[in-house]
Amino acid sequence: MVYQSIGGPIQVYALFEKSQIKPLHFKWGQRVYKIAKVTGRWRVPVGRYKLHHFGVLDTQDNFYQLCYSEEDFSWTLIQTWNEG
Amino acid sequence: MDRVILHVDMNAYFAAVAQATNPHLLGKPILVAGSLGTRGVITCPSYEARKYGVKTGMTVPEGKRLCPQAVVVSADAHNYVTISLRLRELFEKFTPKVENFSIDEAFLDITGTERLFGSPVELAKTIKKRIREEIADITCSIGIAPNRLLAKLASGMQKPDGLVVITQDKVAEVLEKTPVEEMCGIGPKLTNLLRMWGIKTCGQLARFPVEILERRFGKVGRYLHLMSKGEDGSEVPLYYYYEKVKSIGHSCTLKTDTHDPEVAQRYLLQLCEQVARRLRQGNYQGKTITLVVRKPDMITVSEQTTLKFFTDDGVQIFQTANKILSKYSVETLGVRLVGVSVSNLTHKASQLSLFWEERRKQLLLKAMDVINDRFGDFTVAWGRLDLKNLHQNNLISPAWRPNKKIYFGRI
Repeated sequence: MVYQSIGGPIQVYALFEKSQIKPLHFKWGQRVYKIAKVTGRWRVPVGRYKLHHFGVLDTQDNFYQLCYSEEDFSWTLIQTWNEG
Repeated sequence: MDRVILHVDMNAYFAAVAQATNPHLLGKPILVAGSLGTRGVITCPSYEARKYGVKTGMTVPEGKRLCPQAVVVSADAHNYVTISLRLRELFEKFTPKVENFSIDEAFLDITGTERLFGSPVELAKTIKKRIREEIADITCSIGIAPNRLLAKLASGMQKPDGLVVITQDKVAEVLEKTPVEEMCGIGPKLTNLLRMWGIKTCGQLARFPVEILERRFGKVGRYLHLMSKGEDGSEVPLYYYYEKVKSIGHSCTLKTDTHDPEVAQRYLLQLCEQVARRLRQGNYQGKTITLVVRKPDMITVSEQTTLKFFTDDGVQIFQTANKILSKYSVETLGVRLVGVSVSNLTHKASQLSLFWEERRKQLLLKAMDVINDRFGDFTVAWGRLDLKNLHQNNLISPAWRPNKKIYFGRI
């Protein structure tokens, strides 16, 4: 059981609503993952921008940590949880 | 009107936040550590890991020896801070008198809120429920009592997820058999001193002549006597009051033990720069510089120097700390951890220096701060720092308290 660092760019479909960002789906490789639950959200200040981190579960109950950068509007898959 | 104070203490906070963020960790023994390597120190074991005897402060290999199946998780300071700030926001919905005692503990003065939120017990249950529903799936222990001292004692009586009430008429009964070390403010040294006099419980301390306590401990002796009777007149301050910062410091465990002074100095320079930047962000300057060095055998030594002037300059702090470091024989004794702190603080006076060299330095620091504020810490730094190998610190001191001015300074 370990976190597996990924650090790669991903495409994310997200809802910006009521001053909050809600990731809904993300595309990693050729696969689209539907986000069933956002389990955590926190911000990391880097200079005048912030990185918005999200802990999410997909519909298969797999855990992923996503990150949205205010600086260049990019999304990154930070890490996944590997039960094996 | 009798005061009603709530003490909310989050249970195994860092571990609980990690488990709430990744539900796959729920129910598993986990060790939150500063780093995942063999030199990492456990900052918070989950309750599941504590059953195996794992304690805060142990190294990761020590923890893994006791609980081999434990999952080691890297600390994430920003996640803990974010949740701590949200907890505070929630508490402020019930009372303006909220005081963060640390990152995971808060006092709430709920005197007179009964008609708004129900009885203190009902309010405590509401807080527990709303934390889980609105913030994160984490638990807390709540103590309810007529003052801060007793509320803190009460919250420690039932963990995890406890709720304990100490009413005024039960104070003497509760304290009679309470060990003195369970009172907030009585540490191991004081406990041993009291033991030498045969004092083990608060009841015994209450019967001990206050004159002798005062003769031995001065003002503290008087306070000890009051504590033993459960008396504490201190107020929970209003929400906008932030306690004055007394010192600012950073420390780090080196990647490997070193006997090379150059390596120790590089870490020290980075730490001094971090301290100086936090001083400038908070508009502070300090006079007393303390260096802490931990040897590979885990023995820690510290020494401090007080300057004749106040400073917020990282290089000045480094030069002072380095003088202390040079007295310590790095080559022979070795270094495992190095830390620096600046105390004796004052709010910076905006007086310009008469001397051009000094002014030039101030302008240079200001320019560096502007760039680093915009692009992130260490975007520009002194050439001696190895920017590719900066020490990354995900840890946060448990003593951290919300101070928006410092944490969110200029963001």
